[in-house]
Amino acid sequence: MKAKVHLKVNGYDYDLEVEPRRTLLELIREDLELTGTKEGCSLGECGTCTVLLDGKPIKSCITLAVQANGREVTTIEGLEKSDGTLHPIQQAFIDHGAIQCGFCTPGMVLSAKALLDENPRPTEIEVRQAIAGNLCRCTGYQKIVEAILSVSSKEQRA
Amino acid sequence: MADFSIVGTRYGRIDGKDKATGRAKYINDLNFPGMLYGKILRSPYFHARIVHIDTTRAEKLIGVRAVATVEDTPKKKYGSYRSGVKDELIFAQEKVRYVGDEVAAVAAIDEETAYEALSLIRVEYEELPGVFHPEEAIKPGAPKVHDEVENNIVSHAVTLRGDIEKGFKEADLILEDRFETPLQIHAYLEPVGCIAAWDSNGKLTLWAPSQNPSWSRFIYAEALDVPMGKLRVVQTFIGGAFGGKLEQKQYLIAAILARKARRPVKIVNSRDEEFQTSMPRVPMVIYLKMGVKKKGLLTAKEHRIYADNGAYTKYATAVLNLGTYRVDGLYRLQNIRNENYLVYTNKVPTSAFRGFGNPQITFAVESMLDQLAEGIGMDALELRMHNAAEAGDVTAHGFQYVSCGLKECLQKTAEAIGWESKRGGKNIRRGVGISATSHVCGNRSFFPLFDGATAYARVDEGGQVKILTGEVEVGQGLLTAYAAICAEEMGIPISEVTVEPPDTDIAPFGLGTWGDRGTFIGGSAVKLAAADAKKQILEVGAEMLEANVSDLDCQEGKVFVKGSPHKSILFEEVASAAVYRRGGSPVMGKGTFIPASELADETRYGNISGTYAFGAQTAEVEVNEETGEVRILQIAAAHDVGQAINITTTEGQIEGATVQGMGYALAEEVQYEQGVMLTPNFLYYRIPTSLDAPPMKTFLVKTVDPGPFGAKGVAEPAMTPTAPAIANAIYDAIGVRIKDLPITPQKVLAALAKKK
Repeated sequence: MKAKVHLKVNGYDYDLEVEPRRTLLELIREDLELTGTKEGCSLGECGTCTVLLDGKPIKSCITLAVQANGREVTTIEGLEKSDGTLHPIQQAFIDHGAIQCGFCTPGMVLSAKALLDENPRPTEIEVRQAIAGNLCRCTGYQKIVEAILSVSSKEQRA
Repeated sequence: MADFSIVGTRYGRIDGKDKATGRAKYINDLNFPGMLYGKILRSPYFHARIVHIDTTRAEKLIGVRAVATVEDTPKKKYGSYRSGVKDELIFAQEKVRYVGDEVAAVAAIDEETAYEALSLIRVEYEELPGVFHPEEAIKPGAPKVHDEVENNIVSHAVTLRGDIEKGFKEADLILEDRFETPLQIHAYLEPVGCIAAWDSNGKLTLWAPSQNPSWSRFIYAEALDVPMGKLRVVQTFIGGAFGGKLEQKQYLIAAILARKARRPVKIVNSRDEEFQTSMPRVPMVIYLKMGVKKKGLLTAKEHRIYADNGAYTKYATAVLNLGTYRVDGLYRLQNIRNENYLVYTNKVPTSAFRGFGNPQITFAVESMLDQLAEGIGMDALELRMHNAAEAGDVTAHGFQYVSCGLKECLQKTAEAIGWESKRGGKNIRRGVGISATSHVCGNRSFFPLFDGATAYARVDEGGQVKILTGEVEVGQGLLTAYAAICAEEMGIPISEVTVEPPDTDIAPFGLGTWGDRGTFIGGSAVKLAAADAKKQILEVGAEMLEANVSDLDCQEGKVFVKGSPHKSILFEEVASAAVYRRGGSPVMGKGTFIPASELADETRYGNISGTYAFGAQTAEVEVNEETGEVRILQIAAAHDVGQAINITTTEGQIEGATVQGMGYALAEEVQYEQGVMLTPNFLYYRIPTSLDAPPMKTFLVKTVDPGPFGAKGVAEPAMTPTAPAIANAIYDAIGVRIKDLPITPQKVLAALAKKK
């Protein structure tokens, strides 16, 4: 028995029918073909599947698609403006060397966005706490933290 | 030193926008029409005889398109390139040798069906006793992992230099100790995966995140029994590798399934499979003996290593025999005896991981240096400075140091951490420690057919330059470094250069990313290719400007007459003229770089690399004596990188490696209990998070090198000194020395209790 789900993803409305046990990650990656959201562990431990659900960061691999019914989802594909301008956090990640292999980047950027939306001038420790659920094996986090702090100090957020 | 317009500055990655927006396609983001999903049935036993396999029920399940076992393979034993050991088949035959060993596989129309089919395969096993530690496995009478291999010894090698007896006789202090290093997993965030597809003419294409697309085909060709010319590897974006994405058995299994099903097959590891079966760092038990004179001269070093190969041989032979002797050239040691045993166990096969044996042995040697320094009453930094290698040295193993910034690195890092004011237990429960490292930049011994790289710089009619390379971006910033080297050499903006991951049908044969060779060797080839392309462009420019070619140059995208910059023409105009005047042929610059390395002789003596990288790190720690927890207050890392191509990405390599080294020091260990893994996920196997990572200061030490604009490698050596620097800092803080990694709170508390 499939369940009806209505949700908004990156500003677009969708009416879908999904298996009740389908995860939000499967809905995003397979049904909507938005592959910017990554699958790193399927256990909610690595954070590469992070998306925003009504503005809050969640791990979409351990969230059911039906839980997103009637709600708004933002994935990494939803951050770039239609004219191609990157979100200031995305640009800061590039400029500060916060990206290496890039696999954690979409989730990391979204966790950072959720933080800055809530707390535009975080301290370094607040930044580190906000991304503590997003593992990165490449950077040692220093440049990621610097990138996020640079956006907050410039107050250039969209 | 000349100033550069791009090289040595800071700039964003050329793949940064693709990665920041989620556009970058990794293997699991790709799907082909008609593609099937493959899943692997793995052994639940650490050691068992396979009595019978029944796949009939799985074959009959709706949606299953192929089921494969060893009967569907050529049954030809193969091994990692040049390991000298061929001990595995694509699927287990007769025996399984570790939990995770591949027994069968299915391809089905979706993942769920594939998993269901796996549950329908019946395998009858007869359990066998197992061995789990190299020192147990080598004992007479231990269960044999491979029936034909006596005492489970995969390889045994002895290397002798100088006069070891004389060396120890001259010493005023000799210390002997036992060190042990753990099974560390790469924990790259992108699980390994591939898509395999055969065309009508029997040609196999593998789309895969491969660190060595060109020569991984040697192994695939051998295992599948197809000619290498019928194998094409297309590298996809790699979500981290660190040595863990060399050849993969999953790719062979996908190929077998795809051939049987006549459809493309995708296999992607689950995270559990990553932990159970990816090829982690080789654990080592190291017996070390070193001698020193009262005034600080090191006189002799002897080690005996028992290394854990796991159940099959990947690159552990090379890790052990090519990796653990590098440390001998860090200091001016002449009298050396190294003995290495590589031993089978009923555990996951071990292999290459950032540092390639160097972190293991360097932990032991650098720990013992502190013990020696204390024994003769000398400062640990002074002992290192006293013995440190210098430019112009030829080491005991024949490494020729054309440049060496080791002493400067030692001084820089010590100064940055506040060595003078903090060392020597001056602060309660706080201490500082130091360690150095050296590494190759490419390794002639690892791939004896050739050392070097070739690149093409193709200039099209729009003036866009495309670099064709067989070298591999794993996240380190290689594509960006190549774009920068090309742009610098040709005098055009970096935005005009594209570099893409290799396709073995198009790219030159490249040796891939390992041994810190990408920038030094591959980058040199790119520089030569760019110079060749520029020469051709200037020749056409000379015709157009009616000037002598020797009077022309190109800068900021303009070809101009030197001394009369107003007499200029846009680079893209010259490029289009060049293409049209030559019948549509793009300008193809070609560059081949062969470093001044040599194949080591049978005693492993020889200058195996064109240059060598050096570095030193210090750590400041605080130890909680109630809980045993170690907090890293800061790490200072100074690395001799020659000339950095991109300051930002070079720092990023050092910072990332250092945090991996910190994980190695304090937390990371894949644990087994009787052959069963206790830590197959990120909850039980903890890699450092943003809250664990310490503040880091990095220093780039410049030397003059034969690399592109003087650059050499840094990615691997940057993780090697971290763990010993931390261990030495802990001793400085609380006076206990932990000799087996990781240094967990339990070990600290136990050592403190023993001390009291």
